[in-house]
Amino acid sequence: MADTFSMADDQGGASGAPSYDEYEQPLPQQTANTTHIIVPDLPRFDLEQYVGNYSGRMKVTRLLFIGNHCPPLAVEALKTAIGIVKADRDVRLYRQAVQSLQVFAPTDPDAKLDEDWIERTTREVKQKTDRLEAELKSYKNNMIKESIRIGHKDLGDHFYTTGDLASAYRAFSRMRDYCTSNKQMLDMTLSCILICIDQTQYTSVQTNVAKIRNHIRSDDELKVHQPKINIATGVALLAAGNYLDAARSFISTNPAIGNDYNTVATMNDIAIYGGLTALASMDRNMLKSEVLESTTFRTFLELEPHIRRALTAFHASRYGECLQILETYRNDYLLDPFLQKHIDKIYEAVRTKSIVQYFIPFSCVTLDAMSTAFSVPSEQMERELVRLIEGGKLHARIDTQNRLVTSKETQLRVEVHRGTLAMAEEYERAARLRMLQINVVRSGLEVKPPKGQLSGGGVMGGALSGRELRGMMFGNGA
Amino acid sequence: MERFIGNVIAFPSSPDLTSAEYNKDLKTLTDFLSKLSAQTLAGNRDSDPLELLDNRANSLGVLYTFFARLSVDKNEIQHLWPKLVDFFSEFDGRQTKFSKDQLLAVLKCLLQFCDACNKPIITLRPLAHTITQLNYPTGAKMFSSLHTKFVKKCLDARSFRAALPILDVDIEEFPAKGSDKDVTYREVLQYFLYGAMIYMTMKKWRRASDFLQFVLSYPGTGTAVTQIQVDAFKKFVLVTLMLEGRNFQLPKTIPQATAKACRILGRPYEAFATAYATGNPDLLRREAALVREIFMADGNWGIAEQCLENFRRLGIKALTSTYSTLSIEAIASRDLDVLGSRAGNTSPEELERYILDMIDRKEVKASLSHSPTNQNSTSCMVSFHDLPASETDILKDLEAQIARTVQITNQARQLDKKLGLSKEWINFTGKKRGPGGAADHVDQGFEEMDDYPIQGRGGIIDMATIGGMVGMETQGFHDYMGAYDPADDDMRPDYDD
Repeated sequence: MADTFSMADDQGGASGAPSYDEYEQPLPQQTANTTHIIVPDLPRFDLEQYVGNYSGRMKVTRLLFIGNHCPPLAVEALKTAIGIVKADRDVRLYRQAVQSLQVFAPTDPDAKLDEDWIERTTREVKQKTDRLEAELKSYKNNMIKESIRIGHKDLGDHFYTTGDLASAYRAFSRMRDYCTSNKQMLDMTLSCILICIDQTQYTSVQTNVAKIRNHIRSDDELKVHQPKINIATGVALLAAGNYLDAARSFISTNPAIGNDYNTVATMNDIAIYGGLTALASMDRNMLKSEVLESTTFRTFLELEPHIRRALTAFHASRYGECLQILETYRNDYLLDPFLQKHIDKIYEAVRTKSIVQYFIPFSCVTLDAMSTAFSVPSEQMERELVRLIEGGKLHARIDTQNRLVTSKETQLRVEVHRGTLAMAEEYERAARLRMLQINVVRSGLEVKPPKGQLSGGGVMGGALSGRELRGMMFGNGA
Repeated sequence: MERFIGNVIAFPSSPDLTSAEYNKDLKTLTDFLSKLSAQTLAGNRDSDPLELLDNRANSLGVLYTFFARLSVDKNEIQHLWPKLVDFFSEFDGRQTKFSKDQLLAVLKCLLQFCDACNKPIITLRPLAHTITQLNYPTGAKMFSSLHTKFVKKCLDARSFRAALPILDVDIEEFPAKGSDKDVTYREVLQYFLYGAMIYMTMKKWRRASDFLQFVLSYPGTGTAVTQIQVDAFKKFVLVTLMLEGRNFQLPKTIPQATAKACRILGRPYEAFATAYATGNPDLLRREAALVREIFMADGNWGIAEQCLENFRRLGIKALTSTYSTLSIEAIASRDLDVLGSRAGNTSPEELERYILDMIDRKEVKASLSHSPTNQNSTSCMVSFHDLPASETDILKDLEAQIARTVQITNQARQLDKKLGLSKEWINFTGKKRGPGGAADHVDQGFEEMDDYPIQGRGGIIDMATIGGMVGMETQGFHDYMGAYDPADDDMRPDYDD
């Protein structure tokens, strides 16, 4: 463990003197995310109730996200966000929220930057930062470990609420050296994870999760922290596109978590994330044994009955129904900051899997039957099938004359024979080649650099430009 | 003079000599001939040795006569060349075993003469025969500078088929260090590059690819790369496209410097291959137009054109795995004909003929059926069938492959032994022997060979240890070498099934 501590410390200390007051650091993920996807229709949830489930920064994050992506709800969402941000004294988010609001409701009184407030707040925040830093310094002079830790923690909390996430992460990381008990270590790492999620830096989430696992010593601790860790891992895996592991992580989350971790995800979210990732990555049997029959995940599924319905429909091979349910809720999921980028991929995967699974029991299906089952026009169905066949996902062939899809016969024996033959030929070729090479060296016939041009051949190994290489060429080909 | 003819004709004294006796007699005759004066050997108008002696039965005598005549007067080649061609196409390699220098000198005269009159085709038979006869006494498949000259001449004469008997024999050895000044890496590389080019003209893509791979993975000292290798890379990219219709993979054995140089200098080829592999006809057409000039300058446009032509075949073949029936119109609309100037130019009739042609060549298994749609026009459907796979055929192929694999494994083992007996290896083991102990140097030394499945390592390791032991007393070592016979090798690979 010691080396990871020092690593984290190196990161913090790399910038030399603490640079807590760099307020104008850009937050790339906040600006980059803006309005690639626009959801023109109202989602199926009620904004106030939806946001009410979250606490901390996540509330603002979600409000801003909805504000940026869903014009019908934008004004309401942004105004709520501005209120919260003002209370938190987060100047940067305030500017962002107001800018977004200006697009949708330029006449609204909230759509004007409150310069007075900004100036006042910036000053106040700065004062508090200075005060906390001064305190920390005196603690450090006194060399009392616990006080130093608390000093760092206060500073971190302060940065966190006022929106300077990078500094907050640094402050929390520095606590590591002063943590005396296991519990403190766990708390600190959890804070770090939270900040990483807010910063959308999911690889750091995974490293921090790995660290926290080393600190869990007793079963009680495991019980308390396991759900949070699961959720954090799940979110990180989802962001990395590893749906199967993400699904397993969400599904094994203990429902006792309740709303304890609503700074990241509510229980409803867990049901949705878990359900969708499972649909995208598991086959029917796995869905039954791992998802529908899971005792822990059942509690979550009860909160989101339509996910349950979709899972059951898929398991019962009613793929059309499953896809329809998912389609109905598409807007909701597009307004979720964790899901948005993945929803198309997930739906695509579910669709592909449905088609493949649908086809398994048949040796021959009419195209029309398939297009009814998946409720798409048959031309589109055909295009989709062609894509799947060409991608090697579906072992079938299309009969365009009779409009049939027929399964391919596989001749395993012949395939094995062919494979063996190909491998043996490859081996023979490689062996001949190598023996020739050895014989070349044995006879001293290697390509030699021309005398006098190159001092030592090996020296030039590094960066050779095209021109230099050309200079090295010699001899004459055909 | 009479003694000369008499001695030559008297050899060999009886047709069933043992090889030792034969060698002894031959040696005597060679010594005798080399002591004779050029005048005697050249003969005179009354008794021309060339008239009296037979090319096959008295090869040695004829050779010395030619040698003498040409050394007296170079210009005599003008009259002698038809006889020389006959001689080199017929002579007996066993007899000339000890007179290689004279043989090569005379051959050189002939080659120079043919170069001067620009008739490469007459050199082909003499060269091919000489190459086989030179390798005849040892039975080895040894490379010589004649190989390169021969394939070059085949290319010049555009008689590619004539090159195959020589090219099809896999080279297994190269002349030992310093024994043949005419053989440098350049000759070796050129031979393989020219060989690949001949195979390409014969449409034997697999062989061509093998030859090019050898050129590419040719070992070099330091970062030395030759233009021949870069040329080979360019051709290799196209041959891979021809062979498998996909992007190339550099052979794993290619030295890094070579790979880098090829990548830099062969960039247009790489781009072309990438476009080809996407399967997008528009992209490919655009890319082909871009690289056309470059390919033409490199002399590779011909094969690139064949690749483009093959694109359509591959496209239609790929359809067989997706569709079981498809109308001609649907195939035509896929626009697979990249050689045609613009999209959608192919008429269904032309495509129909094309597919029929493919069916005739057994490239796809399909049938065409016409069904009337309305009074005047008919629509043509193509039904693709699975390629039949006869198990007996495959088993036969497998048997043949097993035999070849056994053979190559044996070869590998022999080479392994030879390496174990080489001076470098003995020096290496001798040095390592000191403090390290025997066990680890044996392991280290054989690391390179781990790519070969050599089951019985025991013998080799023993050999290495013996080599290490006698490193000091060279005399004993040479005795050992003399006694060594690869045929004694009793290790057999175990393949029972």
